[in-house]
Amino acid sequence: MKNTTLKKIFDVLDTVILERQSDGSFDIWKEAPVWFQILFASCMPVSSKLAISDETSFLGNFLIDAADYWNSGKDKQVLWSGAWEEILEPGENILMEAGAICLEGRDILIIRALFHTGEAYKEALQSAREEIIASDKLALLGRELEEYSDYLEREVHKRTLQVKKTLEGVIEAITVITEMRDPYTAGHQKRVDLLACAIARKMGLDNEKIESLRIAGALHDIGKIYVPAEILCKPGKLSDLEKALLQAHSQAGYDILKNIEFSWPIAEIVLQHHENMDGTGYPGGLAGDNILLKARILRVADVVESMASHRLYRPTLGSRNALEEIESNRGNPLRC
Amino acid sequence: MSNESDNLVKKKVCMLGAFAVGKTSLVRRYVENMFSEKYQTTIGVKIDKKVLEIEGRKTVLVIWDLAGKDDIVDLRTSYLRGASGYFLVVDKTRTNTLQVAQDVQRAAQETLGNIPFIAVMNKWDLEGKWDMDEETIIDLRIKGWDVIKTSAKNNTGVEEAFMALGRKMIIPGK
Ligand SMILES: Nc1nc2c(ncn2[C@@H]2O[C@H](COP(=O)(O)OP(=O)(O)OP(=O)(O)O)[C@@H](O)[C@H]2O)c(=O)[nH]1
Ligand SMILES: [Fe+2]
Ligand SMILES: [Mg+2]
Repeated sequence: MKNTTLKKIFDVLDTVILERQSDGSFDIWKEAPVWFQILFASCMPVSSKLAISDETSFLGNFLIDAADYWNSGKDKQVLWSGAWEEILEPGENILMEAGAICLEGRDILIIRALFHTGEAYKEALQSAREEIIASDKLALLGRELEEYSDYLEREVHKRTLQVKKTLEGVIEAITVITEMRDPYTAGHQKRVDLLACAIARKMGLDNEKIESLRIAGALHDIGKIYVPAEILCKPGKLSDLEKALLQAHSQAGYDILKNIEFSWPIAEIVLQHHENMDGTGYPGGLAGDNILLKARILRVADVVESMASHRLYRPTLGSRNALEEIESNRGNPLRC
Repeated sequence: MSNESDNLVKKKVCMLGAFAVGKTSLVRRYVENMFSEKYQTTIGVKIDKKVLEIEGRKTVLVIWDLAGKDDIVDLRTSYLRGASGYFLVVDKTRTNTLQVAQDVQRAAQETLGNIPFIAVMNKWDLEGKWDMDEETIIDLRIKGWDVIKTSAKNNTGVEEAFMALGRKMIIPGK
C-alpha cells in the first residue's frame, strides 16, 4: 500500500479504508481498529482482507449498491449507506456508516464509526420526535375532551327528555283525574291544548313558548277538582253562588300549581285563563296587555272549543260558527 | 456474529412502521427478553440476530430494525432488498401510525412483491380511548392482513408474532 496523504488523514479518524480487488474482496489499507476486527471477524480470512458475501448483512446489502456505483465509473461524490448499528458485544452497540467512492481510479470503501457525530444527530432527532409525540398526545387529549363534552351534552339531552316524559305522564294523570269528575267535558282540555298550540304556531311563537302553552293548556282546568260535581254536570243556568264556585277554579288551579317549579309561569297562565281583553273576566278583572299573552291565547282556544263542542246545556254550535263568532268579535272583548 | 449462525440459513426480516411505535422494543423483547420504558430513537438501521427453530429446522433471523418513518426520515427501499418477510408495527395509542403502516406496506409491496408480513398492534397493554377498535382490526384482516396484538412491555404476543412470520417465511403456503 502506498503511503498517501489521504491514508494519513484517515489513520487518525475512526475510519477504515478498503480497496476493492478484482475478486470482489477488499484490502484493508492499514491495520483495522479493534471494533472493526470484532465486528467483521468472520469475514476476515486474514487481518488485512475483508470478504463479504452475506447479503442479509447491512454491509453486504450496501455493497450491491456500491458495486453499481463503482461500475458506473463516476468518481465525484461519495455514496453513503446511511447509518447502521450493530452489537459489538452484549450491551455495547456501535453506530457506523459506509461510503463508496472512486479515488485515483481505485474503488474505495470507507467504513467509519460514528462515535461522536452519531450521538448529536440522535439527540436532535429524538427531541424532535418526542415533541411530535407530545403534541399528538395533546391533540388526542383535546379530542377526548371534545368527545366528553359531546357526551355530556347528549346525557343532559337524554335526562331532559326523561324529565319531560315524567312531566308529561304527571300532566296526563292530572288531566284524567280532573276530567273524571266532569265526564261531559272529557277531552276538552286536550282539545284546548291542541287548539292553543295551533294558534301559537300560526302566530309564529317559538317552540319554547309553544311548549309552555301546551303544559298550561293541558292543566288549565285543574282547579275544577274543587268544584262540586253537581255544579260541573248541571244543565241549564247556574245560581250566583254556583257560578262563583265554578269561577273559583282559576284561583284553585293557580294554588295547586304555584308551588311546582316549571320553567315558565304556568300557574299564572292558568290563573288568567278566564280573563277578558276588556277587563270583564275573572278572577282579576285584568285587561289588555296586563293579561299574559299565553293566557289570552288559551282563552280564545277555550272559547272556540267550548262553542264547537256539545254541552249538556246546549247542543254544539259547530266549529265553523264558533270561528265566525270569534272573527266577528275581533278586537272586541271576549265574554263567554 | 456467532459461528453457529454462520452455517445456518439466514432470513432477513424488516421492522417497519412509524417512529416510536415499539419496533426496537419488540426486537429487544424477542432477542434479549428485556424492555425499557425510556425512548431511544433508532438511527438508521439496527441489526439483530436470533436463531428460530420451526418444526426442527433452525434458521437465523437477521432482524433489520429500521428507523421509524416520519417527515424527517424516509424509508430507504434499498434497505428492504433481500428481505424474506417484514413486520408492520402500529402503536395502539396513536391512530396515525396505522396510516403510516399502510403507506409503508404499499412501498414494501412495490419493492419486494408479495412476501410474508404481519401487522403488529403494539402497546396493547395501554388502556385508553382511541379509534382503533376491533372493527378496524377486522377490516385489516378482511384485507388479507395477519394482525397480532402485542405488548413489548408485558411480553404478550411477541414470540407468537415472530413465530408466525417465521412459519410463513419458512413453510410456504402458511
Ligand atoms: N406501554 C408500552 N410501551 C411500549 C411498548 N413498546 C414500546 N413502548 C415504548 O414506546 C417507546 C418507543 O419504543 P421504541 O421501541 O424505541 O420504538 P421504535 O419504533 O423503535 O422507535 P424509532 O426507533 O424511533 O422508530 C419507548 O418509550 C418504549 O418504552 C409496549 O408494548 N407497551
Ligand atoms: Fe276554565
Ligand atoms: Mg427503534
